[in-house]
Order: sequence, then C-alpha cells, then structure tokens
Amino acid sequence: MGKRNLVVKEDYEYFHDLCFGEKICNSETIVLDVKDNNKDWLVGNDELEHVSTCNKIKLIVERKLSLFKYGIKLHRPEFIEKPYFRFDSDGPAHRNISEALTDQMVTTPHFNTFNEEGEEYAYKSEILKKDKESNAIMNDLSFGIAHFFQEANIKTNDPEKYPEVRKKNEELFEIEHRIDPLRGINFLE
Amino acid sequence: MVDLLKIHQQIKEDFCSLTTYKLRGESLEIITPFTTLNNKFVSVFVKETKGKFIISDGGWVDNNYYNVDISDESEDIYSRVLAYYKQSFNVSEKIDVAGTLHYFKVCQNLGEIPAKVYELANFLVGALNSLGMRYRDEKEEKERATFRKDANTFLKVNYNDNVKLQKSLDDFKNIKFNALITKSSNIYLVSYVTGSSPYYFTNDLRKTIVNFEISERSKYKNFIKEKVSIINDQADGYNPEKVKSMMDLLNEKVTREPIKWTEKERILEYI
Repeated sequence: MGKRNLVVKEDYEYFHDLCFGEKICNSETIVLDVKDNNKDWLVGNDELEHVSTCNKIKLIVERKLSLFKYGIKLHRPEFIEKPYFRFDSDGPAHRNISEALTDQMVTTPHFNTFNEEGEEYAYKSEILKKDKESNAIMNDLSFGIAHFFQEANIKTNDPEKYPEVRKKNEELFEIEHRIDPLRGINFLE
Repeated sequence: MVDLLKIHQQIKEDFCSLTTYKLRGESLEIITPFTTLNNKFVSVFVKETKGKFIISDGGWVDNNYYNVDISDESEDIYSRVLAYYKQSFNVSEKIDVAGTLHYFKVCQNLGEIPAKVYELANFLVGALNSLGMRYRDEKEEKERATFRKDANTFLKVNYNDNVKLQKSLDDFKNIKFNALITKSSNIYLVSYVTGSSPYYFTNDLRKTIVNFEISERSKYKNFIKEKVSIINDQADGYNPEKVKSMMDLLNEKVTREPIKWTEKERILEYI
C-alpha cells in the first residue's frame, strides 16, 4: 500500500543526513504571503545550508487561514520532487504499515518522512508525545518552528532565537483561531 | 492447539484500538480505523445541531488534507466517480463561507450515529482512493507532463513573470489555457497540442480549437492580441497527414499559424 520512494531507498544514508544532519538558517524572519493557487493558504520560504554537503535546502512554511493548521517542510527538488521531511500540525492520522496494527496509527501533530525501505512514515518526537507540549505546538506556529528546528537539527546565528514568522499583510493573521471545521455551517438549511 | 476464539478476541481488540478522537470546540473528530491507499486514516466530524447530529468530512476531501495525488487531467471522471459514491452512500453536500465543500449525513438521534459514521467513512475511503487512481495511461501522462514542463520552461525563461500557467480568462473559468501571457494591456493565449497516440493528439487538438473559439466570446476579446498554439511535432501521436483537416480548422481559430515545437523560436517573433 502506498508507493515506495526508490530514490530514498537507494541513498538512504544521504537522505537521513539531509533530514537530521546539521543545517544552517541565516534568516531572522520568514515572511508569509498568500499562495498563488490557493488564497486560503499563506506560504513563505527560506534557504538552508546543509553543513556536511553544502547542499541548499528549501524550508517551506505554510499556514491555512480559515482553519488553524500549518505545515513546515524541507525540500530539495534536485533529490526528490516533493518535500522529503514535513511537520503537520493537524490533519489526518498516518498509518505506518510496517508496524503492528495497534502501533500503526500516528495522529497529528506529527513529523512525516521516509524509512529505509522508502515507505512514507510518520512519528511523534518525545515532545509531541506529551499532551501539553503537543497542544502548545499545535496551536502556535512559533512553537512549531522552534520544535521543527530542534528536530531537524537546524542551527541559527543566535542559538536562543528562531526565525520570526511574519505575514506580508498584517491584517491576515488577525483572524479567529478556529479548530472546529463544522463551526458556523448550517447543514440543515 | 491455538484457541481460535482468542484470535477473534485479539483481532477485535486491535481493531477497536484504532478508533480514537480529538475534541474540536463543539465538534468531535472521530479518527476511524479505515485507511486510504496512501495510508491516511479517515476522520469524520460529529456535531449536534437543532436536536440532530451532523456527520461530516470537515471539508478534508475538498481541501485535500489526505494528500491524494490528484491529476487535473481527469476532472470529468472524478466528478462522475464522486457522484456515484455520493449516491450509493446517500451523502449530501454543503459549501461553507470559505468555499469549502463538505460531505455529510444527518442523524435523527444518537442511536443512528455509529451507522452513519461507518457509512461516511466507507464513502470517504472509496472516494479518496478513486481520486488517486490514474484513469489515463501512463505513457500519455508522462508525454503530456514532459512536454508541458518543457514548454512552460521555455515561456518562463523568455517571458518571466508575465506568464501565468494553466490560467483561464476571468469570465470563462472552466476553460484553461496552458499559458496566458500579459504584456501592458495585451493578452496572449497559448495552448499546447500533444499526445502519445493519434487519439490523444486529436483530442488535444479539438480541445485547443474549442478553447480558442470560446475565447472569441470573452469580454476581454479586444485585449487578446494573439492566439498561439504550440504543436508537439516530436510526439508519438503526431501524424501530420491524419490531422491535416483539423490543423486547417485550428489555423482558422488562431491568429498565427500553429507553431511546431521544433521551430519554437518563432514564438518569440509573435509574442
């Protein structure tokens, strides 16, 4: 079930290093702007440098407007067409097919990547396994950035600081923090 | 000897452990044990309203939260497949203020909820898996994707930010051109014609002819400076003799003679 990523399987060591090897982020801010093809999403990019290979890696931050949900991704298109390491704050639970049935479900928030066989798999970091911390990260993009940087081994110039995520138009963030997808919809009309 | 009933018990317990929940304000997300072919567990949302209970997908299909790799080449088939599943599972639709489409069922009382959750979850698995299916043959998909990428790159390199890919004219949203180039107040419509077999090639040609014909009725008609078609003369489906009559027809609908890909530099003379 699900396609295996053979590029990852063939060069897993490099892939693993791209995920967890040290990377440098020189930016102090990441600016989000409305996505071209979907006005309900804001997106911002930054460039990271992978220390051991000097490869450039794209950091992508996306945030939905109408419902609170965000994603943080690492992408190196020269290696794999789609982002190869991802944090999902919300959305469907992932099924890790190689696990025992009772361990297969990994709910969001979670990290999404590939295993040695090239199978897509999700996991929760130790922090995400704790309800309180997990909730805080799920509901706050800046906590999410900090946790993503720790998990993916991304270093900043000031070890105490992570990039601030700003929107291009201030008013775009002044919306209600909504997590109930059915709120305000009159289904019986 | 193995206790057969114990096996049943084990399966039942493990299956049950896969159903979980999240509280979302006034709604309850039920994460069901049903999964899609790309290994996502299907969620449904339950909410009480006016003494009834709504079971909805929360707009997750429409928002593609399940991350299904949907090909925009098969939109017509998808809508038929979804209509079939909707009808079979008796599922209703509602569009919210953000424009998101919700699939839902209504329960008259608490007792109906499990059955409707079961039905909606089955509907979602079927619909999502159908959306991920490839209805065109792979060779055709590949040929089309490669040509589109090459042609897009050529236009992007030469016209930079003036190019909008897969764009429609504002008043004909359902008609998409491969590229729409704007220069001062002039609009240049560009359509690609390719295909891995004569059948697909002719279909593409037909589509291009019709799209250009429709653009004649657009309120932007007077701003459309050129209508340009790019013919992939390296495609397996390109057979100049077989498509001659249709090429003549296309010639009537465009402002410039169709440009063969092997002579693509001519595009720069026109736009």
